[in-house]
Amino acid sequence: MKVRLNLATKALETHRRFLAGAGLTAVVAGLLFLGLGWHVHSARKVDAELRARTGKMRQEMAKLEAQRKELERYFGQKDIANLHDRAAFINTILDARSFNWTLMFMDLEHILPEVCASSASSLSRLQDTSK
Amino acid sequence: MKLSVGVTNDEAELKFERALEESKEFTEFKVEGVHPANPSGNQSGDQKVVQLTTVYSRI
Repeated sequence: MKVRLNLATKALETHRRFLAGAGLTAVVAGLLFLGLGWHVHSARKVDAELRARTGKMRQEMAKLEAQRKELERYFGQKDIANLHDRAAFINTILDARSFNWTLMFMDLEHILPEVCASSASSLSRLQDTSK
Repeated sequence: MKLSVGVTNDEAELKFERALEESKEFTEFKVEGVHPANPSGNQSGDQKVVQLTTVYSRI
């Protein structure tokens, strides 16, 4: 003989809905956590790269600044400055001599009317674009 | 270039400026000033001297 007895002291409660909701929330929270974690990781990576680049550029700037100061000091030396002035003077002479004055006067002659052809009294050169 | 050109009359001055304007070699000309010619040493009979600047270029 088989007798079915219910010996439970509390009513049967099912937690399925709660577990399903909690599980879904945990999955969503996990995905959100992973997404945010990935975002933070990327941001930190970019920041690190930027910092490395900035540091490198600062180093380069410092190096160039030192080079500039060294060159300034070098060109500031009296004999070098004199050489620079002399080179500038020679360059002006070379520049003046390389200009084709004959051709320029021939061109001027073509446009100068007869009434003032003989009176081109002075001429000084400001710039040269003939090269 | 900075040019000083002696001209015998206004017509000659205008003619010269027009020719300079039309010239391919002389561009961007600008009249800087006009003053009477110096009588001493002026054998060509210039009435006035026109001072102008222009850019001379030749390719």
